[in-house]
Amino acid sequence: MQAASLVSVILPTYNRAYVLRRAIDSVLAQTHSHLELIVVDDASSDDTQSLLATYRDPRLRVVLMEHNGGAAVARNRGLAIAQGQYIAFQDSDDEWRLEKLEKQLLHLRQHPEAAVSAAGFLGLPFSMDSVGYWGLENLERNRDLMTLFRYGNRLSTPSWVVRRSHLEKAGPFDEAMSTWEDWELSLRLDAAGGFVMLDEPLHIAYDTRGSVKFNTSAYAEALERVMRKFPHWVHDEPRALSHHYWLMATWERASGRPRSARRYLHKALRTYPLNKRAWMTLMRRAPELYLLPPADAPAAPRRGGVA
Amino acid sequence: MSASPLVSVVLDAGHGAALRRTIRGVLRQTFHELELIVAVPAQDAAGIRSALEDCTEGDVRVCVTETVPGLRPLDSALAETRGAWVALACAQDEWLLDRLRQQMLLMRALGDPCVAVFGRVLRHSRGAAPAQLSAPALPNSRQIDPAADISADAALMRSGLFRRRALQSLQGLEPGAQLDTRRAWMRDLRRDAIIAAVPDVVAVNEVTSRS
Repeated sequence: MQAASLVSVILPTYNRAYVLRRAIDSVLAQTHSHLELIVVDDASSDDTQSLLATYRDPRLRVVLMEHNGGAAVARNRGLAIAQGQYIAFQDSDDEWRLEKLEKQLLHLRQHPEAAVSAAGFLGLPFSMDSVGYWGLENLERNRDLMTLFRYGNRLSTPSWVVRRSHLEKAGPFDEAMSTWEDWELSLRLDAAGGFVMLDEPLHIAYDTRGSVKFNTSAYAEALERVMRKFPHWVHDEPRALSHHYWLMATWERASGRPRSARRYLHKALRTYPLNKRAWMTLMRRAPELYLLPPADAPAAPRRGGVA
Repeated sequence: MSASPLVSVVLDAGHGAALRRTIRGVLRQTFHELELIVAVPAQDAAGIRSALEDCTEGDVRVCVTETVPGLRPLDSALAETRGAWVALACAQDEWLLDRLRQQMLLMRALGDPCVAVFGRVLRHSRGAAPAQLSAPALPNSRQIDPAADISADAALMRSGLFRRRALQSLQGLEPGAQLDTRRAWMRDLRRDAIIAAVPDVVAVNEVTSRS
């Protein structure tokens, strides 16, 4: 019988004691039990440490960061001490289903060339008034994953199980990025062996308050950094870049910053004049964007360490 | 083995394709004072017992009950239960780990008038309808308004944790029961008692082409 593969699960957390137990329990209860769970506490000031102290499972390892450094730094710290042949990532507000690791390890065995098995997931908004499925059903089937990645982080890190060898080839998370660092790494992993998609929801992603993913300035910085690293895709897929600018415009408008929203909308249309969504936004929102828009509200403060 | 489990989980095995997953979801609950009663047709009992050997763990009592001809599977299983509360499981569902702990906390907080605590179920069908979230949605209140017309769909019933006396009439809980029957059962249930729900998701219901 083949020995069970050791999986290192890395879970960065920052002030999420109120949901952390759910995330940890769902990892430790996996049907593939040969794992180590590395929880990296990114200098939390809440009850995270006392919560972690209640666990007696020897598979749990805790790393305490002295200073809050953000998700990329925390994940890299976990990677540095990981011993598994496979690496998986958990977020502090997500919940895995019991057979997630078992199914994704089998999936990788069926695709020996792939770097990453990415599974679908069920996403719940904070309002809990709906649910969405992110998997092949929602990814446009006529596009390859690389093209989809250009449109953003379609597969969040908790959906991945990565071969350690391929991750070492691709390199760690970019610590200069305060957000979307998983998106940037997915582009490198795609080049290092690629993703295979397991079209089944294997975890539940809960939208909790305080996610940096809705911080437009952090998003814009991340986009610029990705463009510098992967300049070719701007030429190959201007539609994707235009999509990002349009998305930023919608976030800025929703955040009460119509002037900033207008700037991003113009960039979206200059980059790809046939962007239908941008034109629709322009037509629907013209009064609030162009007719005496109020001064922009202050931008959300930058923060790190939310995972 | 727990001599007097607080919660008896009743599972109608039926022909569920993912029975092993369902059983694991029950046995790995963060609430441990439970027993599991699996009701199976006589011809499937040997296979189910074999599957259970793979996933039984800890000191939870697991009992396989062969359904008696002419008797409904739930009635067959209920005769074996010892818990003060009864939870219903379905062979297409995967319970989330904290389900029973949350429901028991609420049941105790509301006291004796509370006869049933429900939760929300994520329903997902591959390649068909988009994912759905069952009612009731209770973001701000855990006790269901008696005047509210809450759904009585099958997913809701399977998310329930019941006091024994609430299960005296099981007509509305049968999988094949008409929706009107279930609604009538819900009306009877809440006539002089409290029913409530935890606001969280307690199970994932995955409908495959085989089930």
